[in-house]
Amino acid sequence: MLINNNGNIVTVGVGDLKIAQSPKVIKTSLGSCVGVVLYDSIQKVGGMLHLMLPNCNDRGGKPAKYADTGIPLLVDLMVNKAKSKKNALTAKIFGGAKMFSVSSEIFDIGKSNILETQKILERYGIKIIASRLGGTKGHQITLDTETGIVQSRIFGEQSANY
Amino acid sequence: MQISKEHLKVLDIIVKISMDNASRSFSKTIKHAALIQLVKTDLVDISEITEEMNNDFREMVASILRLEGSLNGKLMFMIPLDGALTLQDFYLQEEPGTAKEFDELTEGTVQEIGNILASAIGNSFAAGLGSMLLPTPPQVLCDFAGSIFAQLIFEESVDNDKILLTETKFKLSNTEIDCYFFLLPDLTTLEDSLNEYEKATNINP
Repeated sequence: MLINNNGNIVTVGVGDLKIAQSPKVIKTSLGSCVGVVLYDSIQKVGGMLHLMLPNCNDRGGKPAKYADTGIPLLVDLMVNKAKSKKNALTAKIFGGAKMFSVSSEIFDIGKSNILETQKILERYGIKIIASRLGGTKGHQITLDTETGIVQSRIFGEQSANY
Repeated sequence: MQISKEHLKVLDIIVKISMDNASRSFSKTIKHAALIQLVKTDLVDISEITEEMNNDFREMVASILRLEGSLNGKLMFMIPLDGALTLQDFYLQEEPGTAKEFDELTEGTVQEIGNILASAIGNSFAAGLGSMLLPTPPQVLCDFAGSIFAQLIFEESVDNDKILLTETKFKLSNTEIDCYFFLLPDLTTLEDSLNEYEKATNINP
């Protein structure tokens, strides 16, 4: 695989979350998973969560795999490690595609991930200021911690800034 | 997820033999040498392996198949989009550069290569472990490397933070084209097959 060795790039894998401060950029590739980006414009600190399922349901394993355990963990990292004020945080969410053509709604895991993410962020009082969701293709997202801008690229489409 | 080191060694040997056979079938099909550059079998952390994949910015086309039988699992053949066009020319015995755009012929080529590799792997596992493996019809995905790979491992990652993965990298000779082949055996049926193999051979693996 081609590895980008630029030290300023932080890559997030499935079921993981990372935070970084300017001038670093944080990126990931999403399919049916949802990418949650939190940003503190005062400290220029950003965090990214790559969740794959809406609820933990006592499954165990990595808490960052699930929206209901991953988002609290990301908020906790931003507040307690990066020392961001919770009311300074804004959210942007991406992904949740339906990658395989399965007709049943039950198997539209991307949609469930989106709904649960929106619900939990609302519960935390963190405003979603931008999103690019759904579709049938993967997303590549890159957060610039200097500006808070997320570059979103959907396969086969032009990239756009959010 | 449990698999003993001994079983991992047996699997590694069978996978290497399988990939040799697969490489021969692949080369014969496209009438061009497909050289194995890497064969790796390991229990990998889902976040670490996908982080590695997410560093690959390339657009890929992949053929994903399920293996069903006494040993279950998933297989994926993945090649960069531009490489798929060259592969199509090799497969259809056209002059290099004939295929210009990804179309049904390219998709069909990738599907067919996926089938051929899956059959070679299935036959090698049948010969090595006595396990019957039948490939299902392939599904073709055209997307970013990281997005495709995340879909491949999705089901296995729901209940496990580590997955058993074999990764093979081929290079098409006299080209700069790399292509990848992944096998995700189902742990439960794999253990059963390896235990049967131990009994049949009456040796410790």
